[in-house]
Amino acid sequence: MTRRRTQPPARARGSAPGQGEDLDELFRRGFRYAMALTHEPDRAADLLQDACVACLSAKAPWRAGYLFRAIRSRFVDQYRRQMLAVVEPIGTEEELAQAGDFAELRNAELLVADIGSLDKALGTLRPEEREVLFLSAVEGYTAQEIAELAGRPRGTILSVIHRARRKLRDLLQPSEAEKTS
Amino acid sequence: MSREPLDDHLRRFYDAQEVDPTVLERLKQLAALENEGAGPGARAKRSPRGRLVMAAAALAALVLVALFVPGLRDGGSGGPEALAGSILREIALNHSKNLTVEFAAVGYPRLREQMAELDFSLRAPRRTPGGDLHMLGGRYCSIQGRLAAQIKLEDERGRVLTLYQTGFDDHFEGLPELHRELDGVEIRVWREGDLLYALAGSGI
Repeated sequence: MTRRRTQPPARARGSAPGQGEDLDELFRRGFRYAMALTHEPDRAADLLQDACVACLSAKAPWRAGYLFRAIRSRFVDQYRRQMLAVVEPIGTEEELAQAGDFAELRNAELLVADIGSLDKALGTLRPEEREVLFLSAVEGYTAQEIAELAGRPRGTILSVIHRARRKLRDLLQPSEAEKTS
Repeated sequence: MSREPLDDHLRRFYDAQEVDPTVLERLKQLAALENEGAGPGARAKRSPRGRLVMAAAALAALVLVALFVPGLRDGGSGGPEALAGSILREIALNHSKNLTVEFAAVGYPRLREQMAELDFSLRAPRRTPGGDLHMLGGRYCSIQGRLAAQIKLEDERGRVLTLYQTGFDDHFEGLPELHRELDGVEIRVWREGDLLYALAGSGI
């Protein structure tokens, strides 16, 4: 399996068609990002199409950065209420740094999950939580890059990532009672 | 099943999410269309809003081509009845999507101002179903690849009807007046002067 997270994000976010990233791959990545936001294939396809039209009208180059911004902007317009949930930072950036590196935390979370149970668990998360998980785990964005895309402080993004991972872990990890039974 | 880091599960899950091949193809066609059809001069003459409308219309046309290739082919060479069938399918699908309005308006003067990119003048049809109809607003769409207006109306019972308007050109010559039901949607299609109207809903 391709480990995109190990690739440099700037490279992964590609260049214009004909200069590296092809349209197929760009649109697939756009669809997956839209899926992370909506968690519904039909809505994700609609969102992707709307974003592509917006990119065309703005003469934006076919790059993931532009496409992702267009997708996010349209999603926020359509589902503003779902994106308005307030997330309080769990601490200052210094406190977060002291709490440990997220990369280490990632490797510490060994889970057993099939696609179906992960789908169900992701469906219980808020769009913003799925978004940060997708961008960090699948696209390889740093917290700072996600903060720039979302227009939110880095500390808030770190909080959202932390809480989203904890929620997923709690949903997927069998309880102690289940382990012993 | 082995234990893996959460990120590996997430990557596997999202890698499995594939965009529908027909959607992918449409998007690629749209990108190709834009690259080929819009030179710098052509772009410069259009307003930003105009470019958006043209892009939306191009996308809508591609969607319709993808969905109704047999119908459009019939409409082009199969005579008025085939054209009627193609238009009815287009209207039924569009109405069923129940798209929200882009321009809120309660009357034609305001809507006309907001939908300035249309190449015809919006006007109320002389023939409408009985009872009071309240306008909710409109949005751009396309009928047979032509830029059109889609206007949402609400009757006194709270039912939402969709009224379509586009310019009547040679493509529609010979099209009979229609009143049919398709996919559970009642549809009327008629001409008034230089405009083609279609109304979709129930009890019309």
